[in-house]
Amino acid sequence: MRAAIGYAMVAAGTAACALGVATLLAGVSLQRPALLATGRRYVLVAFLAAVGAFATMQSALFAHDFSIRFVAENVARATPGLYTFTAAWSALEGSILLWVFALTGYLLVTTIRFRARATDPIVAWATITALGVALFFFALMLGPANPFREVAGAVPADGRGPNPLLQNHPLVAFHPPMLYLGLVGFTIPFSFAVAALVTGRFGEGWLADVRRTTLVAWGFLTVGIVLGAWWSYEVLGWGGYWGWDPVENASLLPWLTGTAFIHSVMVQERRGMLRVWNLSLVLATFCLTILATFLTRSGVVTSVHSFTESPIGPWLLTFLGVVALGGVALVAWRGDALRAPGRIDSPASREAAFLLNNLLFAGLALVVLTGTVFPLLAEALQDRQLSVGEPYFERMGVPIGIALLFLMAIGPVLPWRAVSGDVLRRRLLLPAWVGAGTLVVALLLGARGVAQVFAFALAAFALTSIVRTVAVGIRAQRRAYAGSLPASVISTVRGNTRLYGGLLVHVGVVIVAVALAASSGYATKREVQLARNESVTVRGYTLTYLGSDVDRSAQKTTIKALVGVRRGGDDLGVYAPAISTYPNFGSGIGTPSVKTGLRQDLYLTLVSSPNEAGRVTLNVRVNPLVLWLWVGGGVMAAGTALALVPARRRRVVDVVAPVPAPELAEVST
Amino acid sequence: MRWALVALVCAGVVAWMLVVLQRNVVYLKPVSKAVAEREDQGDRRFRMGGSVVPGTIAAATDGDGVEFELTEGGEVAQVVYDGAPPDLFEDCAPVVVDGHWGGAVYVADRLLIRHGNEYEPPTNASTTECPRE
Repeated sequence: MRAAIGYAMVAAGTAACALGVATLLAGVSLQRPALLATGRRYVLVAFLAAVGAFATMQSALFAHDFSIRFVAENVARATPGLYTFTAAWSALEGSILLWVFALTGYLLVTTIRFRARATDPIVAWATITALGVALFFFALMLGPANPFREVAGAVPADGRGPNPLLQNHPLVAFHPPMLYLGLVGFTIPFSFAVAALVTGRFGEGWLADVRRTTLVAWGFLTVGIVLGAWWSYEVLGWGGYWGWDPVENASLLPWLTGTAFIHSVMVQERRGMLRVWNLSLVLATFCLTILATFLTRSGVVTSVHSFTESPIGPWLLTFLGVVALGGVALVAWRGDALRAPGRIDSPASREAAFLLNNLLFAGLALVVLTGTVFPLLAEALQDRQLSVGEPYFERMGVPIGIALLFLMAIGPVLPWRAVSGDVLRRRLLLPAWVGAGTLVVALLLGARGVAQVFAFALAAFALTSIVRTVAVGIRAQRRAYAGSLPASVISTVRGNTRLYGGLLVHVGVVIVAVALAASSGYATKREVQLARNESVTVRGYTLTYLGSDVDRSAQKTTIKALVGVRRGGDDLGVYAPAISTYPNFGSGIGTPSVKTGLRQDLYLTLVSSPNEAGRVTLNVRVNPLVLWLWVGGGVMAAGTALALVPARRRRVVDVVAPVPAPELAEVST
Repeated sequence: MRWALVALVCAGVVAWMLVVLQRNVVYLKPVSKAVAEREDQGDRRFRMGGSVVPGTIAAATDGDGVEFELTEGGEVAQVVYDGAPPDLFEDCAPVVVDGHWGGAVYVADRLLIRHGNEYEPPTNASTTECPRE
């Protein structure tokens, strides 16, 4: 019954998208506003169909309706409620459903936002494009990725349950939806880019139209990637958070090009330059989101994320090919008309810094893309199985990251067009001294690693530069308007949320950069074998193996090693790294036990449970500053949210004193 | 002229990237292929995949670690691993080892169990034969 209802919802959604595309196409080509007004109503129908299908899936999961194959494979009677809910996206078909849910949601919000411009061809074309994308994903669920397919033969009495890795940490409830909201969100800027190309209105209008959606998508993608790293750290138990796994890379790629776009947009808004580049970046970002789905969900890569082998690979590849070729063809067709006015006057200007930023982000994306796709090509073309080692990504990525950190320090304080040496000195002298001082202090304290030392110095440089910019802004505000310090801070920030939101994101990046450098450079790792009541000391932590414990439940069987941890004279408590085995899954999985701290984490994994002699093998790691990765991610999210708040400028009548001109010029962007 | 310079720099960077890539590629070979290519391989690093031959797991003769045999495609390879094997390491376990040939024995410094994602019905497998994949 539920299978029939769910499938009907999917069919209704597919039909709504198809009808919407057809009606809107007719409306634009016949120039009939009435058709355009009708056509966009199908967006609501498609959204309701997606909501209905998702709700049907949830009801089937919670009712343990094992007549539906997806339910039988991804949930068991013993699965706890939270993981029953998250089971909806723990395999291919359900994640396509989540994808469509998010996509139609974005589309609905966009349609509502642009309701006053429903007859504007650019809005119509954007809706057509986005509905076309939704049509493709709905159609996938009609055929090769049908989430409501019924089981062949008798209905099983119990289901299998989610993959063990997807039912032992609550982050599973947040990481995939955030990631999807990020990836899917880029469909909207893509649609407007296509619309701009089709209508020939590729000035700055479409950029203004999609500015907020792009930021929203970028913010979600950032949070999704950080949560993914956190999940990996808390669940996978290898001690790290980023392994350059193809699927991790797949989510990073659109983030890199999306970040480049967020920056280069400002050049076009301000100077009208880089039109082709911006359009290409949006097209590339969207293609990379599709590539991400392909890598994650088609089973082409053997990785922790490829939980299913599936027949949708060829479909996604074909779609990717059509989008990529279509995009290139559109840009080529518009050709000369895209040639932008204006040129870069000086290499020491804001626009030149943005250009360099974009080259670096695009270069990094190329590096990651090559390393990710190379094994697939080698296997497809030469039938050789290989993997690209982490040193490749590190050797190529670290210098680019360092260069970006440097640009982040100087870019925001460079004025547009050209800079005088005087201005440059005034704005950068203090930050440069702080950076150099940090370099010296780091070396004196015995910091190892060229990349680490540079990262710390440049982080200090960038942070000082940001703080100086904010301070100058607040000072100008206080000179111009009377008021207390907190009131001035609030009104300064409110007056230019985009600038200060962006700077807050940069603060988050600084935090992440320092945490990355420290945790990758200064981690301690040891494997120890301990008998009961035997102790070992690793970097100041004294670990005592107290015994083991077995928990049995219907969901899983867990063997825990109880480890007492002391540091100095303090008893830090008992930690219990574990190995869990789930019924229906042959291999068990380890669960690390992490003592999180401001300065460092103690990270324990159980390598092997007690042997005949009662000895356990533990992997002990001390990872410095890892907590700050998640904090930095949070700060980046907060900055993005701040940049989305509409700016409120004080009215001119409030002015009580003349505004000093140079300072104001510096902070306005 | 300026464009030629830009193109040259780009080409240089891409070439450098490919060189670094080439140096960091790690091949994964099934046991049969690894054995067949033992001569050419020398002591270059690669990964080898196979399943543990039942009854061959033994403590290493010198110090910590284990010795065992891996099989795939009708070939068998001797492996020594100098760490403590993970809990799921047992007869018939599908294993990927990271290391190189040291003479006729494969010297591993990393040992991974391949995670099976497939449904595994309970079996009454005999102790000397591995269940077919």
